[in-house]
Order: sequence, then C-alpha cells, then structure tokens
Amino acid sequence: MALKHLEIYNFGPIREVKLDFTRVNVFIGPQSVGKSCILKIACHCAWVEKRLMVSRDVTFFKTGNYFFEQLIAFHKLQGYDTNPNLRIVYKTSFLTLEYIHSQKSFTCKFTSQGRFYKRAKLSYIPAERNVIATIPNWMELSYEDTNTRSFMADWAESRKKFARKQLKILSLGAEYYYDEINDRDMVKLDGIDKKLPMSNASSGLQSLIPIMLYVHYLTQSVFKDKTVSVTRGRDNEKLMHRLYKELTDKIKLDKSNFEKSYDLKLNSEFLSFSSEEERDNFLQRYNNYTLYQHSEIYLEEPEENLFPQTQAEVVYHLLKAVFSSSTENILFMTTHSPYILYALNNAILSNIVRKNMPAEDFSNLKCASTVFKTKDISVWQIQDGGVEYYANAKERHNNTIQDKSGLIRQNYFDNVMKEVMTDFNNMLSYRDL
Amino acid sequence: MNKRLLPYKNFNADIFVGDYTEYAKLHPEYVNVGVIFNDKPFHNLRALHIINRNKLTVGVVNFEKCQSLFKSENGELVKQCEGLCFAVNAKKHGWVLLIEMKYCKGKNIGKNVDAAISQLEKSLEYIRNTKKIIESKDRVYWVVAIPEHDELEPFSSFVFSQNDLLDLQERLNVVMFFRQNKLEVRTNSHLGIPKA
Repeated sequence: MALKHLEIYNFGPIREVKLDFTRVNVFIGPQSVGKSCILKIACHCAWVEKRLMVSRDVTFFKTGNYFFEQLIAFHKLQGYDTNPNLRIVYKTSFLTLEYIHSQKSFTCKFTSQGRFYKRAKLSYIPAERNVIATIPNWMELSYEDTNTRSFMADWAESRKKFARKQLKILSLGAEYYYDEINDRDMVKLDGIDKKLPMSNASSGLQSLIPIMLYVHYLTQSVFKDKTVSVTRGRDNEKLMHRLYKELTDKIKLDKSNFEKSYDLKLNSEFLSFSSEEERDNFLQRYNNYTLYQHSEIYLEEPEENLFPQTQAEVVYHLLKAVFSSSTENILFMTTHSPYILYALNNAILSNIVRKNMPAEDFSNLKCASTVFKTKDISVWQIQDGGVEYYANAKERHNNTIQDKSGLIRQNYFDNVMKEVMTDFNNMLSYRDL
Repeated sequence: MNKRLLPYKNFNADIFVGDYTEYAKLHPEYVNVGVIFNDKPFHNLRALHIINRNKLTVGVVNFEKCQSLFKSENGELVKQCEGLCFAVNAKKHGWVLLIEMKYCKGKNIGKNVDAAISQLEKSLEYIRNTKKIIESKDRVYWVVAIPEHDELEPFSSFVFSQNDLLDLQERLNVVMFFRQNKLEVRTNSHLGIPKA
C-alpha cells in the first residue's frame, strides 16, 4: 500500500502526474521538467497535513487562498501558477487535500484513522544548500521566508549536535565539527594538522557536509529529545482536549477529583482515565501527535559538485540512513546524475541477490550494507509533462521505470549516453591516425 | 552441459586465449595458427586472461579446431565465436563461457561490437538449441574481449547499460562481460570480473 498519493495537474511544466509514494522516491528527467516542483508540492502538502492533523483548522488554509499562496512563496514557485486548470490532490491514510486553482478552492476531508497518526519532521534540503558554506556570515543575511531560509535555520540548530564530536564525511578523509565558541563550521582533513573553515573547503565538501550532517540529525538526533513538544500553546491545548475526548469521551476533571494513580496532569490540566492502559494509550497518541516520530527528507540533487565515486557512496549512505533507523523515515530526491541512478540500481540488485551470493563476495560490495525491500524504492522519470513508464506494463513496479523486482530499466540517462556514444562512434571512422 | 558431445581439453590453471588471425597479416609465419588456448601468456600477443586461482578443472573447446561441430545438416558452416570454456566438475549445472575476441583498430571497435554480439548469439543458438550441448539450466556467460585496448574509450562502460544487461539475461539467459580482458573462475558455477 502506498504511503501517500499525489496528483498534480497543470502546474508549471507538469501536465499530469499521479504518484504513489514509497519509503524512497527518486525523480529523474531533463532540465526544467518539474522534478523539483513535485518535491516542493509533496513537501508542502506534508506540512499542511501536519498542521491540520494537530489543529483541524481547515479555514486557516482556505482564508486568503493561504494553502496555495504559501506554497508559491515558501518554495519560490512564482510564475508556475499561471494555468487556470491547475489542481493538486494529496491523499494519505489520514486525510485528502484538494486544491482547485480556478475556484481558489481548498478542501480537506479527514479519515477515521487519526488515532494512527505519527508526526513527521519535514526537511527540504535545497540545491543551494552550500550557501551556508560559501557565505561565512549567512546568519546575518536577511532572507525571505523560503525553503532556503528554513533550511538555514534547521542547519543552525542541527550543527550544534557536533559541537563536542566530529562527523566523519564518508571515506573522504574529512570530518566536520561546529566551533561553538566562534560560531563557525569547521573541517578537519586527515593528514593535515590544520583545521579549515568550511567556507574554505572544496566545493564537494561544501555540498556534501550539509547533506551528511542534516541526514544524521534527521534520522537519529531529532528523535532523542522526548521531553519537548513541537506543538505550542493553543494548538497544544486544543489537541490535548480533542484526543482526550476521542479516547475517553469524558470531560476533564478538576483538581478535586484527581485522585487515582493513573490520572494525569498535563499542560497544567488534570485528565482522568479509567485505567492505566487507557492513560498510556492517550499518552502514546498525544506523543505521536506532538513529538517527531519519523523524518521526511526532501533532497535536491545530492550529486552536486561530487566525484562519481562519492556520488555512489552518498546513495548507499542515504539508503542506510533511511532504512536502518528504527523510525520509518521517507526520502524524496531529484537527480541529474547517472551515477546516482546506477548506484541505486546496484543497491536494489544487491537486495535481490543477497541470499544467493557467497557471503564473503557479498560483503565486498560497496552497497552491501544497504538492506531494504525493493518495493520500498520508486524511481520516476518525468518527461513531456508527465511520467514515463517501464514499457512492459505487466512487469512494472508502481508505474515507474522499474520492473516487478524493483530494478530500474530503460531510462533517460541510458538514452542520452547512447546518443552521445553513437555520435562518437560515427566520428571515429573519420579519424586519421 | 552435455560435455561428452564436445572435443574438449582440460586446463587446471590460468588460461590465456589469443587469436593470431590479424597478427598473421603482418607476420605470415603465423598464418595457420589462428585461435590458441594456452596455459601461459603469449610473448607477442595480448590475450584474454582467465584467472583460475583455485585450479578448478576447466574444459576448453577451440571452435576453430573442430569446425565439423558447426556444420549444419546441408554441410554449410555456421559462423561461430572463438571458443568455449566450461566447468568440468560442476555437480549438475555449471558455468559455460562463450568467447569472442576482437583485434581491431580502436576506431573500429564500435563497428565491430554488433558483429561480435551477432556471432555470439548465433553460436549460442546453435550450441544450445540445435546441438543441445548447453542445457537451459547451465549458467551461460559471454565475453567480448578486445585485448589490444585495455584502455577504455570515454564512457565505453556505458555502451551496455544496466538495462541492456538485464534484457540480455532475461531474453537469452546469458550474463555478458563486454570489453573484459580478464575474468576469474570463482567456483564451478560462477565466473566473475576480478577487482582491479
């Protein structure tokens, strides 16, 4: 079953896409076909879902066409919204959102599955992420409220986890750490005594370190603090009352009735329960709504400024981070790189042949530590306004360019390479030696 | 694998495969030498090197030396590749390797690939479906070796994409090693490309 379903009609270069998302979702295609649009819309809808699951305040998003205006402003999509037939549909187990641009109409229908909801930490890692490396005083710059600024704010928070320890950057012989005293991002290179400010490191490290650190934060650190709720104030109060009523159908007690050992004081209010089990169920549900239970990572072009071998390492690292964590994290990615795609295919094939290959040979594969179910990865090729499918419909996985086993088949990069090589082969005959 | 149908020779060490046909054009004393399977490298010719560290018994058939195998019922000669190797002591179904060698100018490599593939496909069709020497469960590998060009053209590893290799495996039950001048015998049921 798909985790989420997204439909986009007539948005920028996208004519029509219908997508069922899995744990890892990858988009390839030529320039300007709308790959990043899909990522941004998916991220925005996930954020709206998160707000609505807590507040249940649909009017908030209807007023002033806020759902759409916020999408355009936050994700810098001005100019993509000109088609009157623009429409977005987003569906999960918990709700269905629909936006119809011609009517400026936003609707939301909740399902009855709210008790299973788990809050996600959403993070958009933009292609311009190395702004935090290339501009040393980026914190002082004034930015509009966009995904870039949001990323920068998250970076400021997440890097503090490496104030007292270092983050190894793949096998590049480099480690990152945060110099808290001087408020600087630093890189230590193996074999060199000196430590560099990240702004002086290579372009590859400047692009890679934010990915590595942020993914570490999103798949490990962000869940460690279980005491601080991420919802605030009035939202928190209303949520608590709603969940309490859903579970117990009671009204809360005042202090004079607060006597049983399994009654609960929460946010300065007293809640009565019939049993410990009922109380624990409530707390579990409350925590699922107010504390991060998993991460959703939206990552643009992980291959930026990276050597091909490093690109493959990044793929394996991302897969390991997403799948080996105890939380059910989700990854969305766009890429222009055949190396990223082929490494992904290697990882998929490794999970198909794992049982058949001798253990010693298998352990020598660079992708050996990426363990997952192949149906949990989906790779879409976006072209000419829509989705290109693997030609053999009976053998297709999830309307992607993958076959039933999950392996990526004929794709845009192969076609481009064949074109390039055909020209090369044809010219060779005319070469004088 | 119906090995009793084949005139094979046993090797228990590394195997070097060379084809003197092109070389003979400039060295007429080699005109009748043709394809050779040897247990040592050639001093004057670059070869396909099959590494056999575990010294498993490998059966070798030089098709040039047994052309009667490739005569069809009406006496015509079926075009074949250079030869075949197989795991002699495989318990039920082992590996079989069909070998195509190309010695040509670098500029002609692209043109010759299609011809090489076509020859391999015909050889396989004949050996598997007509002569019934290779059985359906045998693990068949193809190698197209271009020994004089160890250096790769730009992106030549992309000539066969991952999808091409998958298609080939699904269509013909064959694993292709393209432009590999070194292979290794891993077990009686598997071959591989040695790590650099």
